[in-house]
Amino acid sequence: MNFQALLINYHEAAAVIVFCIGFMTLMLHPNLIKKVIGVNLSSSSMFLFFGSRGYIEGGEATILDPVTLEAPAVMVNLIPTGLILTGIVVSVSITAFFLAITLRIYNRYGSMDLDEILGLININKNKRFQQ
Amino acid sequence: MTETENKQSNKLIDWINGDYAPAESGMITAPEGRPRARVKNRVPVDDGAVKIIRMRRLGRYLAVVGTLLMMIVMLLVVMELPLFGDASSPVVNEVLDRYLYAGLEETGATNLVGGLILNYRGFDTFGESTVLFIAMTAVLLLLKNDRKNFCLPVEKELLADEAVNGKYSSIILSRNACVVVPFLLVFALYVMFNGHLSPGGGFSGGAILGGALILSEVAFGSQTMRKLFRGHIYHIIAVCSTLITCVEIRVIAAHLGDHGHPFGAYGNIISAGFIMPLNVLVGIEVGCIMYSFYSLFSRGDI
Repeated sequence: MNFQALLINYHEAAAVIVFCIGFMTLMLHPNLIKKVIGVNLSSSSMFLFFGSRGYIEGGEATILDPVTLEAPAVMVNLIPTGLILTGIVVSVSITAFFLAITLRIYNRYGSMDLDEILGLININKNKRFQQ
Repeated sequence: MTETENKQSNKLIDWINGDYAPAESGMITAPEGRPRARVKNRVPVDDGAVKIIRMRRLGRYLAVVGTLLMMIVMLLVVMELPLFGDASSPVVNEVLDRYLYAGLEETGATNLVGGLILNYRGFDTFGESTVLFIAMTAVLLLLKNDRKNFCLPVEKELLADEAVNGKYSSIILSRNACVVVPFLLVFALYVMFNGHLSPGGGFSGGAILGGALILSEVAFGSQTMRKLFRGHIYHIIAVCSTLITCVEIRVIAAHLGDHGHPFGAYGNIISAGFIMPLNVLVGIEVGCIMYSFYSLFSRGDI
């Protein structure tokens, strides 16, 4: 058990904890909007994880001088940066889609609470059986 | 706490909930007709319901335990990872060296990330813009108000909102927006056109463009924005830029074997081959899609 590494890699450890907080919100919270917030939290923690994986000690941003074309002496790893762009776009798309569905559910049932909505569905089912 | 303070805090809570407007100094009556469900007391408690409630409680405990287990496993993995900022970790290999030290010659972009995402990984970026486009299409299908998707209470609420907005159009906001929006548009163009030379690129420039459009709609109202562009123009722009992006990615893919003919001198605006036009197209698409999201969510129409 190498707890020293956990202290040095504290960005990644924090990313894991934030991911689990977001995942727990997604699983347990009855409010649909807060479920969306949970999804966003977990995806943001993944951005933190990738960004901190790409860091190299003393590195600078991978942008050359446009005039002299000189590169910085040490540059960070740019592959996670390129990958995370995909993650951000997918996160935005999922958030918009999820919120649109939530809005439709609210217009239909008048509630954001998943428990209430499930109760309403059960009541409707019971009514249908009685008829 | 005295009674007046108590009232103030109640007013604050009402204002946050949207039931109270300080300018009107009175309660806004919520539009009637929307069902306000309070079902918890009405659920018939029979044996089946009790069983379902118990099952769901069990599921919650299982979720907590499973998430904790997952967290412990992932923290164990974090312990075994290479240390933060370690230059000798196995990720720093010849792939990274190729991107860093041959990127300028092969793509012609001084912003190496711009060269990476639009030349080496062009298909990936095309997939991203497609994902965003599909998300916009889905939101449009779900939220567009037309004859088939029409909800009278919501419509009434929207009309009431528009009346309130027309009554209290803020002069501070609109005058400030007159000053800020042109600068925002110019900055968005700068970020898009300079994406291969400096930090920025299509997605960030598009986000700024969408922010400028949203700010102008908030400040000047939807009617003014409709005078500028009819709604479907945004869709046409988004579709066209996606298609042109597709074609350009195809052209880049044809040259994937031989990078190495990026026209123009390094560091000029016109250089780096297709990266600059791709940045501009992606930026325009993202801006239109952001504005469509805002207008669809706020009034169900573009």
